[in-house]
Amino acid sequence: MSDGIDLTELRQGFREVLSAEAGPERVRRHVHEGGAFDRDLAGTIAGLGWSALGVAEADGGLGLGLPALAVLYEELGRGPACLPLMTTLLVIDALKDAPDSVRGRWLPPLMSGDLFAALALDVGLSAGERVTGRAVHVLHGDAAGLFLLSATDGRHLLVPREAAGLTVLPTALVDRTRGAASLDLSDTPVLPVPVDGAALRRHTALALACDSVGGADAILEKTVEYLKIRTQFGQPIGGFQALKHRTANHKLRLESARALVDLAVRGDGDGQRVLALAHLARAHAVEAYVTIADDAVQLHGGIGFTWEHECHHYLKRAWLNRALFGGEDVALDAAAALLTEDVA
Amino acid sequence: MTTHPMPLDHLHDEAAFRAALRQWLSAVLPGDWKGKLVAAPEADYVTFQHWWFDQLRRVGLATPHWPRAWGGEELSLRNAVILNEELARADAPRPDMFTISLFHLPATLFAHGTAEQRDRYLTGVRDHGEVWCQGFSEPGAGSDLASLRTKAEKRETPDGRTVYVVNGQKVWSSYGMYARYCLLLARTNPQAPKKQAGISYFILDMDSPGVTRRPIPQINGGAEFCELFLDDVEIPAENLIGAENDGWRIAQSTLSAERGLIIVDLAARLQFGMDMVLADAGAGKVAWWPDIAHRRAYMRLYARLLAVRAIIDRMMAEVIADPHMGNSPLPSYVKLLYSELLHDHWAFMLARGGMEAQVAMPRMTGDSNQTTDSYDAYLWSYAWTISGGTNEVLKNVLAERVLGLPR
Repeated sequence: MSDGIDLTELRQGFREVLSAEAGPERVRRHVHEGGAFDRDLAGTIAGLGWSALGVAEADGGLGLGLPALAVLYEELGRGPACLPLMTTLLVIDALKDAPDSVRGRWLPPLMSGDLFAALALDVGLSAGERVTGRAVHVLHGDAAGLFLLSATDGRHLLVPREAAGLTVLPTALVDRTRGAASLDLSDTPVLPVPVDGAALRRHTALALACDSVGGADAILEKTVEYLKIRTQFGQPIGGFQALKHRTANHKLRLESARALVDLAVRGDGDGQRVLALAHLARAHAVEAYVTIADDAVQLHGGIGFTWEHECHHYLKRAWLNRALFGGEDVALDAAAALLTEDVA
Repeated sequence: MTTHPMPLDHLHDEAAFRAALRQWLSAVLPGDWKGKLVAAPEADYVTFQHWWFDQLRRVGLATPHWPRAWGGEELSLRNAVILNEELARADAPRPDMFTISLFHLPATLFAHGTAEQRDRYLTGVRDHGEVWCQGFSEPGAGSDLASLRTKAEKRETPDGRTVYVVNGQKVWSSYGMYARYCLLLARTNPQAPKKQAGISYFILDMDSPGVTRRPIPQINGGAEFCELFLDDVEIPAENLIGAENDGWRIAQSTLSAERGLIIVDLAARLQFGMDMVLADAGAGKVAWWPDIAHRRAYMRLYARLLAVRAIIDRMMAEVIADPHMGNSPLPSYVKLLYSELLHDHWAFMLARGGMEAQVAMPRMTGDSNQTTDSYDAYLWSYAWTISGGTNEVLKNVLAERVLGLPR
């Protein structure tokens, strides 16, 4: 269905709203104020219908596919926006195979921005209809009213925040544009739902990859602009060849990452290879993001080292993306396993 | 006399085209062609290249990308990709000795040549497999090509002909030892206000008196390149391409031919090689695969390969839409990303080879792009990071033209 929509226009729309409502000043204020979940802002943005992008039309959504969501993840990454949308979109998508009763109960508040969701992969839980266990570093767990837990035994379990025996302990991250929480479940009632685990992992990897491309693009653009206006020794420092070569390398890293992410989002080929591609895209894009954001601080010199300047927002988001959902080593190992089975 | 399947009869059907290509390749391609070139004299390689060109020519696959009017097939992008993939899959020889003949010469003559030049020289390539080389770089003009000093002075001969008398030295002419003709850049106006403005573009007959060629032994032991010494060499005026002093502009079309199509083929071949390692790893036949750090490093290289191939696909789509590609940055992205990947990939494989890889082995004579030896390939990869504008110069250009940093 995404064939019918102009992704460039969609991107422009996202960018305009995000720069008006969640632009650099808002991000800076959010970070200064400690990074607590901003429900008003999140509600405003989510209420625009963005959470419904990927939902089937029959369920009241827009029925757009991954290519449209990829654009949204990338634009959110440019901010980097302080919104718990990534995990909400992932959970919404994961619920597409759930029974009518589950979709009817949870999709409307998730789509309207009244409710946000968090996702935890590879959680060790006891068996049975009531479970005991612990999930740590759950992205956006602080903001979520609903949790999707992908258990190590292959089950996917929905848990509302009010569930009996569930304790949610917010965890402050160094990246204050994002929050997290740890979940303690003690004989907690859970709702098993059918979820395509491979599709969920693919979507998760691609969301991180797109966030990384968006962030890398934004901080590289800002860095290049700075090199044009910062004057030392009587010339803009961007005229020095040492800095030109570094920024050219960053541009190449970014374009390489973008090309692989686009390829992975298109996802041609069989299931194994498509999932492997998503893992590779995630690792490749995050590596580009960390490298570019890391050098952005150095290229900005003293100003880049200050709390006031936004370099560190990108740097910290990049490192968070590297570590999230098992981290990039796990992504590379998964790709290696999938590709050796696939090709052989 | 056997009849071969004609792949070009099946252009309308992708699967049939592929099948016919495979059938043709298995019929004509000697199984151990690489083995036969190990430690072989140069002459064997030259003979083999002419034989292979002739095989390709017989079924219309030597010049499929040329216009129909010149005996080509105007092969569609999709079919060109299929052809490349099948040649790569079969590890077929590349017609490397004919690179200038097949790409640079037509790119130059189609756009800037006279009818007589096209008729004489394109026919020579198409029907007789004439080998061309390129006389661009000089000892003092590498990345700064426009500072070239080879001089061409216009004169009337006593018998009334107009000629350019050329003096100078050229380097890095691939297969110059075997070339019949040379695409030559020389300075016709040393007083021009800009150094780019005084350069002209010539067709040089390599058998002319005053031409001396000498092979340049390379760091990998091969000698694909040679240097040319030009002493009072006469070039007839009709061998000027385009207008006098317009050579720099014309050379740009020659160089852009170099940066595009050749890498399409080589990147496909690199992927087949890397996929083969993955298949072998899956079958437990790769000794270093169980080492998690090596495996991860290999996955990062593989990600870079898939990325550069995706950019190549975009570049090819642009080539179709606009053959001159305007100011597209994609060819320079492709050159930089491919060459650095190639270098890192072979450095990785060389390291995995351990002491075994340090033992001197007889090398395959000829096209170093097709070597199966990791050390040879590693050494050859510098040809990609240095030639066609060093990566350092291209990064300056990228920073200035794409990112807008000050000169």
